[in-house]
Amino acid sequence: MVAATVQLLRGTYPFTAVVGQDQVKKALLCAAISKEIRGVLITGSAGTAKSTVVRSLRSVMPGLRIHNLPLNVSEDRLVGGIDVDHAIKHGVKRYQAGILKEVDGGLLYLDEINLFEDHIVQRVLDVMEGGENRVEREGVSGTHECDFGLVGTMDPAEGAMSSHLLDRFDICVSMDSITDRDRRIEVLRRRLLHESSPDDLLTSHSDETLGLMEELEDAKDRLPCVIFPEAFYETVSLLTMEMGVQGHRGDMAVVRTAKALAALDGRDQVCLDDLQEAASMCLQHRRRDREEDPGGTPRTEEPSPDPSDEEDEGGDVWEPPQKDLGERPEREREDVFSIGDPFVVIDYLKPADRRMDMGKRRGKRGSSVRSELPGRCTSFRIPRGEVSDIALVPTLRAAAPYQVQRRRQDVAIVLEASDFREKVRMSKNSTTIMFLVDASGSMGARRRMVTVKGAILSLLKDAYQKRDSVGLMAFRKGSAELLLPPTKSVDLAYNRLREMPTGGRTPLALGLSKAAQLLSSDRIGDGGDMVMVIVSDGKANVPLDGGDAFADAMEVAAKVSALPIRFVVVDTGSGYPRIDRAQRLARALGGAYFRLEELNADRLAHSIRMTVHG
Amino acid sequence: MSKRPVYPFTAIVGQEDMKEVLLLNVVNPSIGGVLIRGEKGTAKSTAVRALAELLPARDVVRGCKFQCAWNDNDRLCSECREALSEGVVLEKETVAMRVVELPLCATEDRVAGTLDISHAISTGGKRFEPGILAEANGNILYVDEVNLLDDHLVDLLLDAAAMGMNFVEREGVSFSHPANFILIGTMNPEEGDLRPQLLDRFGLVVDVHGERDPVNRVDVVKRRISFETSPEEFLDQFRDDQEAMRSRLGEARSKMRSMEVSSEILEAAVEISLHLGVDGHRADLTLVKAAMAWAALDGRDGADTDDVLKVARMALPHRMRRQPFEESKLDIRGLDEWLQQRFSS
Repeated sequence: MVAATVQLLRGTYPFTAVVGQDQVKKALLCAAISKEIRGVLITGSAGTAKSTVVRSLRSVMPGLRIHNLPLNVSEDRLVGGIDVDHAIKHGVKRYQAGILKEVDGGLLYLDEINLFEDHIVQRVLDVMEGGENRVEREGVSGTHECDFGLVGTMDPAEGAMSSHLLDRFDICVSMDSITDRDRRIEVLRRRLLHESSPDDLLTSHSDETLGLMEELEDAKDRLPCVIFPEAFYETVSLLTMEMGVQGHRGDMAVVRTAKALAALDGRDQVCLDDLQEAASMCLQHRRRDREEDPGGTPRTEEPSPDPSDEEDEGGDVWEPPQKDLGERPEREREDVFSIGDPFVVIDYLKPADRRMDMGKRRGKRGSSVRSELPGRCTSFRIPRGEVSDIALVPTLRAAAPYQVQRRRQDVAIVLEASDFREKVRMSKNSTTIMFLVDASGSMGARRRMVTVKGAILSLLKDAYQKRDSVGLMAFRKGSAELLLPPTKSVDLAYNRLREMPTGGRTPLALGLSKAAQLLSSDRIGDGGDMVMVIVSDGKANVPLDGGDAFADAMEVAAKVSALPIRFVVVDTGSGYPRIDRAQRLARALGGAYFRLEELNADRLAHSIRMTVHG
Repeated sequence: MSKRPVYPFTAIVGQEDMKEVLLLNVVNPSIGGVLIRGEKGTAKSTAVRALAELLPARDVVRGCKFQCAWNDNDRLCSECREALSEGVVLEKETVAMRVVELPLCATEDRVAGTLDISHAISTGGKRFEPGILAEANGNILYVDEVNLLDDHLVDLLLDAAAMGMNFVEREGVSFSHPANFILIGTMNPEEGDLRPQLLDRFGLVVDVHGERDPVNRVDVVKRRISFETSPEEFLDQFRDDQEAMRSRLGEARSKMRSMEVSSEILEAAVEISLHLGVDGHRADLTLVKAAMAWAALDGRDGADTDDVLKVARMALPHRMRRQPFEESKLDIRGLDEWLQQRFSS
């Protein structure tokens, strides 16, 4: 029996040999026994055995086919398209199914799901939810039923998934990092054994494996009979409301998962523990910040309009809990402030700018559709005008059905002008973001700089995930200093930011003109987007040559606004009444304007409410 | 094959750290490759290309253009798998390992492989044309300036490295073949970072600097010049050294194969990782494997804590941070002190 099991499972890592990760294992088992559960997402940092645990599922469900979707899959292979061989031989267009047909009845696995192109993930989710794959492309149509389980794994450090895609996964769980010494040694021991003599590892876990196999068979049979008590439906909706979950997918996911959990536990009825466990698997990733939740009714009591009160709420809400020692930094004093807590940044570079060519821009920031080289070919189209960048395969596919009629002696395939297809290329345009940071004394007041550095760090992180180049320039003490020429090395940027001193007066005009000069020089930008993010309160006090400092800044702003640079002004002012200088600067630059607080995705809703009520 | 003379590995002056990490990978390829960080002109590429001469021969399936490993039936290309299922007995062939370069400007289809266009046009049939990942199977994949590699190529590499297989599902082609390679990358850190995920895929990391000892510097130049003027003569000079190195590596490999994993090194590896707060298990795994390879290279039959300590500075610096922005915290001196205290008793 043991030998037979080992033979059957050869090459797989035994599921039962995975140390810890109870919640992840539970989630996978739920999905394995329940066809109803739509999508399991597993998050965890690099090297935490995410894919090992997914692939090991086969060891307890020997019949399960796990289909690995490669990152560079093209849509025609995924959903299917014209059957080229048939078209050439018979001159008839026929639909040939793709991977989604092969995976029917099995499990589709997307490793690094956050790196897939959105339209691929979208398509997979659509088909999974609809239960059928309907294709209309290349002049053929086809439909087939398609019933499969979906598992995705991702490392959040490589970029987040958009919340509407996230919401479509019933379950989202994360890998625990194992910090217990003995358990970690056990992980290592088993891994090494798996590599040197996999059969031994299988043998030593064969009892557990066989036991679990039986349990799963049993649970699968039991699942259709599991009762979900009527009274629990209300509990579920209270629970999801309590957790601030939007929409109804969460509720349904909890119900389906709770049933699977009961079946796994060998029970015919869902109990409260199942609900709790299901909730922690299904609802965490759908949670909105509690503050965004209006709590059902709008606030009736206006907050006190007392200016000092406002100052505390508006400006200092997320300053780290370090006590200001009462000593206000002096004008010429120089400090190096630490970096405040980073946060999730809103999409502050949305192409809402009038100067952007809206027609050309589609999809996410950082990628744009264009037909000229270079770039990555994502799809194809019937050419408009001259064809230069032929998509050969689609062209052959388009020509295939006519080969029977066009048959000639000298060539195997006869192409005509109407067959030609050209490539649609998606290129990541390298956005260069220059941060122009006001490091003058006014920024040091009440440790404002700690918060500002936290915000800049967040912006840097955001830039990293979108693979932008970043530069850092600070103006203070009558000069503007390039701390970091545009680079992709965010580590360098981090270090420079940490070391950036604060203190002195505010030569805003100078900083602006220097940064603009740098950005418009030939070396930088490389044809990509250029963005200047000005982080300042706008309180300029060093004129260019003896005039009014702010008027100077406005004059420079008007001049540089003509350059092909997008401007974003982040207002760091925190006092009340708010000084509108930064806002005026943004207007003069023709750029977007944000208050520092608004950049924080979690705080945004909060701060909007504050603006409305305050 | 045109045999252009390759500068012999044993003739490289200095750069002991770099040579060591490369050799460790030859002794145990499952260590997972090397990332060499350093400025230009520090013999990085020379060393990697020179390594080819020292690589062992390996058994592959005769006639397979993907050079599927002969004894690994779980990882076969689509063609070998088909042959096997039809009852064909796969024959053995011994080939030399080599260094395959991935140029930065490579296109996606050349890396992953694509539809064989000429075959499609002349016969109308579909056939898979192998790419660089296919060539790299069983060999060393060398990426110079790996930090400048395009994002979607990095994705391809990660995908292949994760599975040890390359799956191509594009433009009507559906094909898979093994892509099991030792990844060696070089980079100049000033030109940009590597994505953490790719970083984590490199088993070991080494920082190289230009030779500072004036005597050695002179040697570097002299040898290089005499190699360029009369390569044959130069190669003759180092023939014995190369032979000695090859046999040392052969012995180390067989020692490595029969070496037992002791509890001592498992514990040492885990404690070091935990002390440094390294996430994920790849660090632990690499520490153990590299320590054993180190001991084997040193001619010993077993590894101990000291070996783990020796390789810690190669296996850990690039795994120190959890987030792209948290500071790299590997404080070598601090680590040394802690290690002394912890393991000296």
